Amino acid sequence: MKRSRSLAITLLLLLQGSQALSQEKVLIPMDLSQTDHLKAYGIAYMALSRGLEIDWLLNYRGGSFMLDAHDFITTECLVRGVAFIRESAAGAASIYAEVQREDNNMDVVRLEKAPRVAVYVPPGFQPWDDAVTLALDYAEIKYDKLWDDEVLDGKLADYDWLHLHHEDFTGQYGKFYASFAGAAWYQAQVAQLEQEARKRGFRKVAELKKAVARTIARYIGAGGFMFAMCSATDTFDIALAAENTDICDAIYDGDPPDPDFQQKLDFSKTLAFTGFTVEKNPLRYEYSDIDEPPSDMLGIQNPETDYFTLFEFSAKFDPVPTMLTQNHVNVIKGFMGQTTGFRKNLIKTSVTILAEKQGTEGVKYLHGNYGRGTFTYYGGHDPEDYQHAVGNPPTDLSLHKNSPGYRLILNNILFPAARKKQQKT
Amino acid sequence: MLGSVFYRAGREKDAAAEWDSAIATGPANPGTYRLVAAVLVENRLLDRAAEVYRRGRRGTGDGDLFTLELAQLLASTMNYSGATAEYLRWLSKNPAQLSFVQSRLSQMTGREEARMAATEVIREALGDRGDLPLLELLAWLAMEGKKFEEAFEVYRKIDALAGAHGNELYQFAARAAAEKAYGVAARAYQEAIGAPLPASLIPYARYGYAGAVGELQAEADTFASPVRGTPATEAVPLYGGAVRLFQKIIEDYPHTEFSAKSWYQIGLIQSEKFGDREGAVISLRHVIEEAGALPSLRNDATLMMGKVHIARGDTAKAAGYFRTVVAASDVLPDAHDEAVFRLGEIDYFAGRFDSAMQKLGGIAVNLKADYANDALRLGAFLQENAGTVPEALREFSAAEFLARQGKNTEAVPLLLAVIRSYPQAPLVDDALMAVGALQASAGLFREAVASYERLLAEFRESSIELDRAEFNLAEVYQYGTHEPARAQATYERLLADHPKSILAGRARQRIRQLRGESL
Repeated sequence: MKRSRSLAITLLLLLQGSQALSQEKVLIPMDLSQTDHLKAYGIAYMALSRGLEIDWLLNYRGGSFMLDAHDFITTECLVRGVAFIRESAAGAASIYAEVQREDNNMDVVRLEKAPRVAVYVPPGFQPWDDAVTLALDYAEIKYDKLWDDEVLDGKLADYDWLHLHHEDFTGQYGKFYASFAGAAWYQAQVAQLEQEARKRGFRKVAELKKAVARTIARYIGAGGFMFAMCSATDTFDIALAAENTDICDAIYDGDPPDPDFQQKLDFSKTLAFTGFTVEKNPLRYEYSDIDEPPSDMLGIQNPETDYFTLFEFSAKFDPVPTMLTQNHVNVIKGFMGQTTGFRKNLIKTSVTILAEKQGTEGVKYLHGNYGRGTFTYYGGHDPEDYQHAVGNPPTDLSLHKNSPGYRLILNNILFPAARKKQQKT
Repeated sequence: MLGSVFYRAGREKDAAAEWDSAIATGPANPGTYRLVAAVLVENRLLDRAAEVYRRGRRGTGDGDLFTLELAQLLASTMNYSGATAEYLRWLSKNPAQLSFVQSRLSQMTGREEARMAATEVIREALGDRGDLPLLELLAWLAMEGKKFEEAFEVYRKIDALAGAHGNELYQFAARAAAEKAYGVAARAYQEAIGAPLPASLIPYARYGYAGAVGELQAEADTFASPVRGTPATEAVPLYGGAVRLFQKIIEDYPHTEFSAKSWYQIGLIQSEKFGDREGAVISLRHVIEEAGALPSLRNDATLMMGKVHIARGDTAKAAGYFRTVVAASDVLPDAHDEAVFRLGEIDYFAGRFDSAMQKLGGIAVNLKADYANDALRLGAFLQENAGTVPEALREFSAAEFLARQGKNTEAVPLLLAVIRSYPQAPLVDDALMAVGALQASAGLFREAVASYERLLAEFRESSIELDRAEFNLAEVYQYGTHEPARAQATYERLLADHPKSILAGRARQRIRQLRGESL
């Protein structure tokens, strides 16, 4: 009986396999032969949105995509300028065999469903303020915008993936006071946030932002995927740690900070960082000692020598970090932000480091689990604008179609689409 | 300061009492209120700071105090109406500071809601009054929001109130035309002229009006497409209005800058829209001989005259005009390069290929020059064919010269003869391409499709023009036979066959355009 059952399962698997391999496939290579890496993610997303399944071939030609050959896919690849190769059933089978060979650090991850994507951005924001929305727009991936009201009203449950704009969750308005206190845009931003806080019944913006951070943390804990860049990373953790204390100076919230706030930080509530020291100087453009290098040391950085390196993971044993680090290069040029990177010794041991600036204490890219969900932090503001400043023109991604730095962002979008499979033991 | 300390210690009542007592020490002194309000702002108590300023007004009995401070505070709290009201108060006391108020308002009017709030406040303040600075502000706000019709209304009032005799309307018309709002610009020019404007400005306004009418007519030209120009029978009534306006300027302002510019515009329309070369020669001769013409205009007209003479088949005269431009001491570099290029073309039409290549080589050296690409393309074509099949090239250039003269019915058979007689010549595919383009421009779309299809079928292995042929074929389907599905399929075929073609980007754009996607 047992034998006949296992035979039936084997036959079923063979049948499924033969169905998958019985038709022509389209391979979207993601190595240096790809003409537009960023739009390739958009093709994958479009295929998922239209009910197709995709095989993400981890570490095969830069993390290529394989999917059934449909005319609308090849046409769309042509229209969007994405390179693809038509593979016969036999050709595709040979690729699958190569990827699944035990001695190759490659694997196949099946992507099943287009994630519902939300971006946390203030009203009236411009897409070029944020690398993720630039990437999503360029790749033609649909997303919704959420702000404090939607988050606090429970709308996050409608989404699989949330990106945090380079927001300041500490309630210090980006710590722009020293440089921009007199600027009209800064004053308007402060006024708008204060109005929103009052409307929601919070006395201070910091309290509103902490409530938002806690709601987002709960969303992750319940199985959500969160991706944050730049200052949204460290300020998110600081806001969670400072739940029961006041770290804001009077110039931000009208009353002095709690003199013992450092001692009252609760690191058990944070996602990625622990043991950090919050910056006490309200005029310094820095939130804590998490940022590496600190913002006031950025001037001595040399763009010519600023690179970070992606770690290599075992595709078969660590598929998640492998997905997040798929790229056609593994050394990527650095870029600054209000939070450029993360100091290694302040990262929780449970967190996986995905990329670091070699020879320094700086970590650029990390990933961790929180409850049933996951989070990814990526330091810096814009992968193709080394030192993005307020008022700078937007980056034109059609000039950076093969940007490895932007690819890391888009890996995150597809990652929630992956079917969970049992780990090999 | 003590109040601030109390406040930061959470003792709000003590803080308020302290600030009240500070004010009580000098209730008639504006400085007291300013000091206390500054402390309140420091503590982010913006609403209370505004209240202190208002209290200061009452305390000192001077309702005009602290206007700028209050305006800034109100703008910071997104009370745009309040901020505008304060700026208006300032303006009423300092009418000469209109630019200052504009610059302060501009810090908030980037937001549409702020611009609308400011507009509303100014309208209310105006009522039925004729207050010039307020009207100026209103007009400026409308222009900022690109509400040209709204601005036009306001400028009418400004013009009447200021006794500007159309000058304000004229200035507005010029700005609206620069923003491509030709309809409202034309009406504003017309009203300015009828005001009447001072005599010295009338020719400017009339020339602006004629230009705006010409642009409106071009916008209304639905016959023109990338594959075919507007037939002369349609163009004459379409652009006739602008021509008559330019002619009237010439009559009224003979031998001036305006008559010269008007002759040039007429020459352009005659040559490019009407196909009236004889008329264009006469018009352009007037420009060249006109004393009032600026040197750059005279050089442009001379260049145009050369091109018209090529189209008339008179290369000797054309060369004379081009040489005049090359020799001119005041010629701009682009005009100089174009003249040299045209001289090279004349050599090519006459079969003097070595001389042509020499001239073209001179321009191609400067890759930044506008004509470098054209020179490189023609130069490479000559190099490829002059050494191998000079006879075929000679016949081909003769056909191109006929085509330049609009003699399509003679050019097409000649090109087809070249294809038949020299099937191995490298230029055979160019000949078929030229045939397709000439047929399309004559409205023979089915024939054009056949020519391009033939090229694609017979020269699939040898031609370097296949991507262009597919693109042109798609254009004929899109704009000629109006078959969008075929057009889209052909653009897609181009992308599949030639993904690295220089035309791939344009093909992608056209596909999205045909799919109705925003570009």
